[in-house]
Order: sequence, then C-alpha cells, then structure tokens
Amino acid sequence: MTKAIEVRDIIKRYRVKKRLGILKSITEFIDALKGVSFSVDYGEVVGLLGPNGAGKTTTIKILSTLLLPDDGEAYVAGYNVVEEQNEVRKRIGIMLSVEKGFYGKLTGRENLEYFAALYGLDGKRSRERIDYLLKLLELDKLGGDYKLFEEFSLGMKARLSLARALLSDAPILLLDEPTLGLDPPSARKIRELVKDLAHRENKAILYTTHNMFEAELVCDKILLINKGRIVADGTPQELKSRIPKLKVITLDIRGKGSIDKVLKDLEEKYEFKEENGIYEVRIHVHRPEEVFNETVRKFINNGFEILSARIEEPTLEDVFIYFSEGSS
Amino acid sequence: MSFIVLLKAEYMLVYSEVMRRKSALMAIIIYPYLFAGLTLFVGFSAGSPQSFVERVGIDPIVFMVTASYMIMAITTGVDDILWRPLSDSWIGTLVYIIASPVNKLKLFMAMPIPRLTLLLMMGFTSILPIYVAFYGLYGVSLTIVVVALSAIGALVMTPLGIAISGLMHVASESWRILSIVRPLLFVFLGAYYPRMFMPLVLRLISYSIPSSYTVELVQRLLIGIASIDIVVLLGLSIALAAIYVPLGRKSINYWEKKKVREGVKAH
Amino acid sequence: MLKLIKRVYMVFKAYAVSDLLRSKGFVFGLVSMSIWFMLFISPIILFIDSSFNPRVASAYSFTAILIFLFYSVATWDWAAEIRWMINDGRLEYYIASGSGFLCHYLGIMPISFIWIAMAMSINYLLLTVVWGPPELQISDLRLFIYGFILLTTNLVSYALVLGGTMLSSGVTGFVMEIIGFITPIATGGLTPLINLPKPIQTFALMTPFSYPAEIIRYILLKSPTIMSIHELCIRGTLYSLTFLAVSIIYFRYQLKKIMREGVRVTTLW
Repeated sequence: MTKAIEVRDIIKRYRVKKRLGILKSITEFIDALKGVSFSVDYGEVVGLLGPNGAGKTTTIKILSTLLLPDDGEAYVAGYNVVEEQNEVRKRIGIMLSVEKGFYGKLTGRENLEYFAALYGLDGKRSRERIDYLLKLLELDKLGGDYKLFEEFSLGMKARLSLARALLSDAPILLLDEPTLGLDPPSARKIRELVKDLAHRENKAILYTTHNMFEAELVCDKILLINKGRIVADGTPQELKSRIPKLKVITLDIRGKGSIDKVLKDLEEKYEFKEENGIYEVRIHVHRPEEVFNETVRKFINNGFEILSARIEEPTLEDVFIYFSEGSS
Repeated sequence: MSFIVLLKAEYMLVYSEVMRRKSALMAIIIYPYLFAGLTLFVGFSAGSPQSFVERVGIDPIVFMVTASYMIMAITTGVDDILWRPLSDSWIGTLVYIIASPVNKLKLFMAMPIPRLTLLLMMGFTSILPIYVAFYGLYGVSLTIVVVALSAIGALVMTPLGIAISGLMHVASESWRILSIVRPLLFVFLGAYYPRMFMPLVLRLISYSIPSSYTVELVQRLLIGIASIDIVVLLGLSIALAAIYVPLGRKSINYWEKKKVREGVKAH
Repeated sequence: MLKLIKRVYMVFKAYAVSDLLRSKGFVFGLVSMSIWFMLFISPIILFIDSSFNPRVASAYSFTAILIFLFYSVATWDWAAEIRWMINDGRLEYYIASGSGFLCHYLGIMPISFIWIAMAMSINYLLLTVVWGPPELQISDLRLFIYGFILLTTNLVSYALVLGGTMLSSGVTGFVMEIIGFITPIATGGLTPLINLPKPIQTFALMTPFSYPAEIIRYILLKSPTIMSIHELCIRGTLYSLTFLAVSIIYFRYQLKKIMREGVRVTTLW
C-alpha cells in the first residue's frame, strides 16, 4: 500500500543576509534540511520532534506545497509535492499557526464557510461539515458561531484552526505545533482529537512539536530532528530503550537505622538525603525489576517504613539530548 | 471548482468586513466627496469655475464628483486585487489560500465583484443628488448610465489589475510599489485631468488602460457626444481587457510559483 | 540631559536605518508623493485663467503643498506613531521603560523634516515642469523662521491631541485620514484667508493653525493678509502656547487613563 507521506533525502537551503553595519551586509546560505528521509503510514501519528530551528516547519511547508525543496523528493498520497502540487493540495489539511490565519471580522462559522469554498465545498455539504466540526471541537458551545474571530480566545483559535484542517476531510493532516501556547484543557482536547483521527478515521498525521511530553502522549512514532537531520526514529519506548541511561528507583523512607548498612551489599550506585526525618533514597539501575523488591524487603526488615516508591525512566528529553549530542 | 461558490464566499467576506467595520463603510460613502471637495475648494480659491467651464466644457462640481465616483468604482475593485495578497500575508491567511486547491485566477476574478457591487449602489448617494440638482429628472437616467459605465470600467480593469498584482507581489515590501501604482492608475485613468489635456507620452500610456476609455466616454457624455464614439470607446476598452486576460493568468501563476519557491510565510 | 540626547539619537538612528535606508521607504515614498502631487495639482490647472501668471500659481501651489505636508507629517508620522506602537505591541514596553515619549518624538521629528525637504524638492521640480519655477522670495528670514516654529508648535500640539485620543479610544485610520484632509482646508492652511468664504474664515481664525500659515504665505508670496503681521504674530503666539499647554495636559491625562483602563486595540485600518 502506498505510504501516505514519503520523504527521500530532502535538502533545503535558505539565503540569509548577515548585517555587518548600517549599509554593509553579506549573503550566506544556511541548510535548513540536510537530507531528511522518513515515511508516514495511514492510521498513525508521527511526531517530528526537535528544538526551534531544527527544520520542523520547513519540512511541513515542503509537504504542504508551500515551499520547494532544493533537492530530494517528497510524495504525499503518492503525488510528488513539486510536480503534482494541486493533487497534493486536494488531499491534505494543514494547521500552521494557532493564532493567525483567519479573517478577524468574520465569525468562526463564516471563516470556515470561506475556506470551505476554497476547497470546493458548497451549499449543504459545506454546512453539514461545518456543523459537525464546530460540534466536534466544542466551538458551538464556546460561541464559534456568533463571535468574531478577533474576539476568540487562544484556545478557540486553535480549535478553529484544527477545524479548518479537517474541513475537506483530507486523509493526510500536517499539523505544526498545534498546541503551542494553549492552556492544558484545550491542549488535551486537541491531542485526544488527533489520536482519534488517526486511529479511528485512519488518517495519516504528521505532528510537529518541541514538547517531549506531548510527543510521548500523542505520537505512535517519533522522528527526532536536529539541525536539519533526523537523528533518531522509533516509538517512544524504542527510543528510550536505545539509550544507556540508567533508570532510577526513588524511595521515600522513614526509620532509625543506617541506610549504608542496609544497602552495603548493593552493587548499584545510590545516594540519599535526609529532610525532617525522611530519607529520599535514589538507586541507579539498569533493570529495576530485579532490584526493587529486594531493596524494599531489606529496608522493611531493618525497621524502615516505606512512605512512597517510584521508578523513573529516561525521558524523551534524555533521548533527544543523547542523540543530538551524538549527531553533533 | 465553481466560480459562483467562490463569488458567494467573497461576498460574505467583503460584506462582513464592511458592515462590521463602520469606518470602511463610511469611507466608501464619503471618499467621492472628499477628494472632489478638496479639489473644488482649492480650485475655486486659486482660480474660477468659469475658466474650468471654458476649458473643459462642463461645470466643475459635476465633473469632480463624477470623476471621484468613477475613480472609486474602478479602483475599488482593482484595490481588492492589488491589496489582498498583502493583507492575506499580514494576517496569515495567504498560506492557506495557496495550499488550497482553489483556482487562483478564478479567486482573483471573484475578489473585486462584491465591493464593486456595493460601490455601484453608492452611486445613488454620491452622484444622483448632484445630477438631479443640475439636470433635474434627466439626472436620474444619467446616473444610471454613469453607474453602468463605471461598472464596465471596473470589470475591464480586472485583468490588468491581476497582471499587475502578480508581478508586483513577487517583490518584498510590495506595498511600497503599490503606493506608486495606485496613484499612477488614478492619473492615467484621466478622470480628474482628462487625457485630451495630457502630454502625448502620458496620453499614450493612458490608452493602454482599459478603463480610461469608459472614463472618456462618461466625460464626453457629460459634455455631449456623437453615438459612434460610444461603440468605439466601449469596444476598445473590452478588447484591451481581453488582451490582458492571458497576461493576468501568467502573472498569477508566476506569483504563486515564486512564493512557493521562496516559501510562503505563515507569520 | 546627556541621557536624553543619547536616547533621542538612538531613536533617530533606529528610524533612519529601518525606514529610510533599509526598507527603501524614502525613495518609494517620494515617488508616490510626487504622483499624488501631480494628481492633485493637475485639475487645479483647469481652474486657472490662461492670463494668470503661471509662476505665481506655481508659488501658491508650492506653499499650499508645503503646509499640507506639514499637516500630513503631524497626522501620519507623529500622531499615528502611537497607533503603530499599539499595533506592533511596542507601546507597553515604552511606558514600562520609563523613558517617556519626549525623546521618541525628538528622534523622529528630524526624519519627518528630512522627508519634507526632499518631497518639496520634488514638488519644486514638478511645478517647474507644469507651470514654471515658483516665484518665491523670503522677504524676512527671522519672521519666516518664526512662522515655521509657530506652525511646528501647533502641529505638535495637534499630534498630541490626536495621538492621545488614539491611545484611549483606538481611533481608526479612516478617521485619521478624514481629519488629515479636512484640518488643513478648514483651518486656512491651503489658501489665503482672504479668499475663503466668511464662515470658514471665522472658523479658521478661531484655530491656532491659520496664523502661522498666513505668516508663511505673506513671507513667501507677499500675499495679502487678513490682519496686520504684528497682530498675526501676537495672536498666533498666544493661541499656540495655549494649544500646546492644553494638548500636553490632555496627552498626560490619556496616558493616566490607559494605565487605569488598558490600551485600546486598533484595527489595521
């Protein structure tokens, strides 16, 4: 089956003017993308995760036919983004900016009607689709029907932006940092919807973000991008398991004995600190499932009380730092 | 993609903006009088209306108000075509328009029509009172004819407007170029300063503007005209507009390609 | 004082670099302005009797446009600056920085004057082509300079009133354009007061604007004045100082108001 999105060795270079004074300047080229390759299947959310300036938005724009690559190939729904732009445009929904991109003096509904016309939706089909989307994104309850866009809160603007991306019911969605600046409830709503769209409606979704936590929540697969290159890819768990970072067992305990005496036979490294009679013990392990039960039993047998216990895994941030430093 | 669907969408967009922004509505009503009033005031102070009548053959008040109305009607439509890529870029909608499968030429053809319709209706608040005051009941039919000719003038201007828009907006800070193009169009239309008074070079440039023929037609009507001129002048303006259509198409395609090559900004 | 001078210089440098040098605004603006002049002047020609000395007509047009440009600058450079600050989100930073508006305006005013000088050079050339070199003469330099100081003072006051109103009410660009058009006409800025209809004459004399305009026209064109030069100077000075005092109080009041109520949102137009 054709991949929804297929990108092969895309290169993109920007010309930048470097100001050396009031009138003097030189022109330089910076490589925004240095040979990026990846693919996205239908029914999955693929996250493009990286810091600002990594190349996320450049990638989205190339796939949205808003930017030409300098080299390489990209296909959306099997169509070449350079040579078959119009075919691509019929099959994508895009969300580029949360705050802007609508007409201020139109209501939410009127804005959607306008953009529906650009997608060739008219009359009954347009109305039904817009009714559905306003309800889906709860904009009908928030006043999306009668409030002017310039009166919308940021959360409402984000929802409307996603509604526009869904107007033509395109099979492929390109979402550029769709929850940027949103409050937690709005962000959560958007994330849940995105997952639903992929898993229930079989859409292919490319989702860019610099928020590691969000990427882990939303994405089936993550592409780590840094300085114009994909430095790693895989599911969140796969990526975490690839780094040699140790997990940490953290125990909050109370008691009168000696911690060192309890853990003297432990091979793993540990540290602890005491505050108000409570010890926080941190043990760095590769395989916590082997150490955890044994350690807890030793503390209890030595008269300690376990107040809380947790196992901390490496985060995506750890993953990103590990792979970025490696790629540097 | 249906042109009617696009037209309906543009009507909704423009009328919502105009009705919800009272200043925009007031501008459409007042501007014909404003520039005419300024010119008449200074002209009367600096010279005399008799000199004007001797040179031009028509009362300056009728002439100036008509000129202002025609300029408003013709350039209002073109203004939408010239300004929309810029305003869409500033508010962030341009990316979505380019990324949509809509036929861009059709969209640009639809753009001027809503505001033009509004402005044509405004003819009955701006020129009708003046014409009735000067010509009595004949002023009513004269108003209808002038409004109709202004409509034609605006429509034949569209292809040239699209051609200019496409070429202009590939430049950065294209609004600065627009600040030159707009007043130039005003000058070469020959509405305020009839082209019969222009030096040859300027007159030749004026001949290349399709709407200048409808402007001349209205001026001749106000003065008195032989019927053959109507056909000739109208025919010339429509023929010239037809010549600009393929240029307009190429220009818009060039603009779109150039924008995508450089990268359409989402702001 | 040194701090103020430094700040003024930084503002001037910032605007000169961004607006005049890097964005090519200078050249485009001049070309655009000259075309608007042509559009405005050309129908006026049709009112002039063929026996009238064209160089005198040229001189009157030159003076009228000069004064109109001063009004434009006061509306679109000085008063509208508040609007741009609001639109760009700079206003709050300005207020929070405590540096005040004085240094900002002292910085942008020279740019406005550079602009007027260049625009009038083009205007001079244009009129020379159309009618012939304007027949101008400065019969009394000190009075001429005094007239310009008076005009600038009035226009600064006008900008403070318009700018202050914009701060608290977010007045639209359209309203500004109307005010920018009507003010010079209604206040006797463009034509000698003697040529105006009586009601407009009376109104013009009740505003501070007409006095410096009359003085400048008298100096440049030897045009007849509606009252003696001595009286024009005294009245003009009294009006200007009063207007300036009122405008400063008004502007400060508007600043205090927005500290209480917040800055208004302005539309793009």
